[in-house]
Amino acid sequence: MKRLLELSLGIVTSIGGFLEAGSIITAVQGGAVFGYQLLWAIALGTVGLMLLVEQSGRLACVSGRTVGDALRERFGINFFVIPLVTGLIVSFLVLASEIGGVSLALQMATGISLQWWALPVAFAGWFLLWKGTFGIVEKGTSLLGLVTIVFIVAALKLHPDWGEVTAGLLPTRPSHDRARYWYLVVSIIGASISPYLYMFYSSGVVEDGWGVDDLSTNKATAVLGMSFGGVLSAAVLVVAALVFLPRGIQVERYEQAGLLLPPVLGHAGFVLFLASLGIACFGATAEITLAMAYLVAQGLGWDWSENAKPKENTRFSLTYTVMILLAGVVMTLGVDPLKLTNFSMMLTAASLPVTVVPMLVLMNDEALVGDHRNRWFGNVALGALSIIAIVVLLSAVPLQVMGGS
Amino acid sequence: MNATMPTLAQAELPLREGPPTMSSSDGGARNASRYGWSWCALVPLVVACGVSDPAKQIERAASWAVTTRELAIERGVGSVGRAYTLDLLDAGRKDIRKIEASLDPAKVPAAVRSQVPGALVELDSTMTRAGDAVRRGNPLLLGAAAAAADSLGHTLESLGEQAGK
Repeated sequence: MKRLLELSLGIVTSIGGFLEAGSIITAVQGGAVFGYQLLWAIALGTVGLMLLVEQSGRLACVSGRTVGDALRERFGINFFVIPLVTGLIVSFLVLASEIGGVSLALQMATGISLQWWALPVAFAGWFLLWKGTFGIVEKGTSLLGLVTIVFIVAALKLHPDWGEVTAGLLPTRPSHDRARYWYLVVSIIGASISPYLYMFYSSGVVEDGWGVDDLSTNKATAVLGMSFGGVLSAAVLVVAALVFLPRGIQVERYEQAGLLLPPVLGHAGFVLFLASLGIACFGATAEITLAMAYLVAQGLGWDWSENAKPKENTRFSLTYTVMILLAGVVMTLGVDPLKLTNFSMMLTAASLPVTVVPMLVLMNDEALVGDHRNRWFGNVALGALSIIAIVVLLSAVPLQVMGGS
Repeated sequence: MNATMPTLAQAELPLREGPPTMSSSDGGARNASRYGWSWCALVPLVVACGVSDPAKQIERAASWAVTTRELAIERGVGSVGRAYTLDLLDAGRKDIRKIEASLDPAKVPAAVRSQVPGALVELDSTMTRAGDAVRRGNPLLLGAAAAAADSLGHTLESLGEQAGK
């Protein structure tokens, strides 16, 4: 019974914690310009994330090591510097965009500029990390994040043509604006498969003390939690396809997304959109900050645990303090949240090979995962994902220049 | 703000024709596939042309006109907040001014060259009027601004299509 409860909570928190600034806005932009045509990119990203979450969780359950630990031990510190530096740069930009997302929700509610909100938001995030435990950070914000289910409610109320929705799950070439289409494909993949997500997940498995007995819980959380999360992202795109595309609204500013739900749910839709944006981005803010501190601490061999008091892991707590406050400062400088989010999603996608390709080696290392190493299916799937990640890396720069302008 | 705005009902507003559809059967898409990814090699050229593409800039302005209309309607029925409405109208006006400043008349097709600047100025003025109506809490003015934005949206969309030909 207790295990079932844990499983349910794990799945529910995966759903509640799925959406964030990047996945919301890339889905809105995709639906507003290309209708259902980009649903396949969300499906691909979700399957990719599911795969990486399951494998990073399995690695942690069996070996007791996080992805960061395993990368450093298996490949040495000289190699580890690459994912460390790449991960920190990309995660920092994503962190700034998440703080921007919370600040924007507050700006849309109050009219007070997001630049004034950025530091208080960063401070609130820091306070949660300083005072809270891993369970509070992960489950608390994710349970509140269930408010994002409003997008599914709105999508159902709009009665989409399910045949067309299903057809959107198959990749097709766009009839117009090809550069923008592929730019959004890459951004959606970047928003779905953020390395911080599975880095954070594997650290969470260690924090929660999961072992081999929890492998089935890990698999169920990865498959069910991420699938339902993907459905949430898809719902955002479907609503944008039915509300913005027929009206001809393209999203030039993040704030325009606030018009997504009112035509369907009235004033409640506006309030719930703000709540969804604010809570989802706040949860992501806390998780990314922790993921960065985990990565640094695990890479440099420091003590780390969100469940311990900050003074017991001073370098770990100092790292997240510096990261979150610096990201808050960046957002006070007047950076456009939409441009930053789009850019950071593109960069996230481009950084995927750095962590995805080595996972192939880690998940086949008998010394690390023993009998639980990848079978042919896991290797083929991860291999395919690695190829996609490399293609994304090669196309990211030209697409940023062409589609991002 | 009166919850029932008398001038413009949402249902009366025309939507762009056609639901979101797949384009796999589209002839243009099939044609495009012949060229595959080769356009990636033309990055500098596309960048040079794409950034200041007048058709896209006009389409962007049309999107702001529609956003203004929707904002006015939603504000009129009390669905969105006052601060949010004013904030987004302000952001839109700034973007329209950017478009005005960056639009190179020499690159705008002759057929629409004389109409685009006027439409942009009118949109800017409509957004200002919508903002004033929100500040004063005047539903009649807001309704009139929504109707003007609706008409401008159609005009700009048509100009964008002509500029893209």
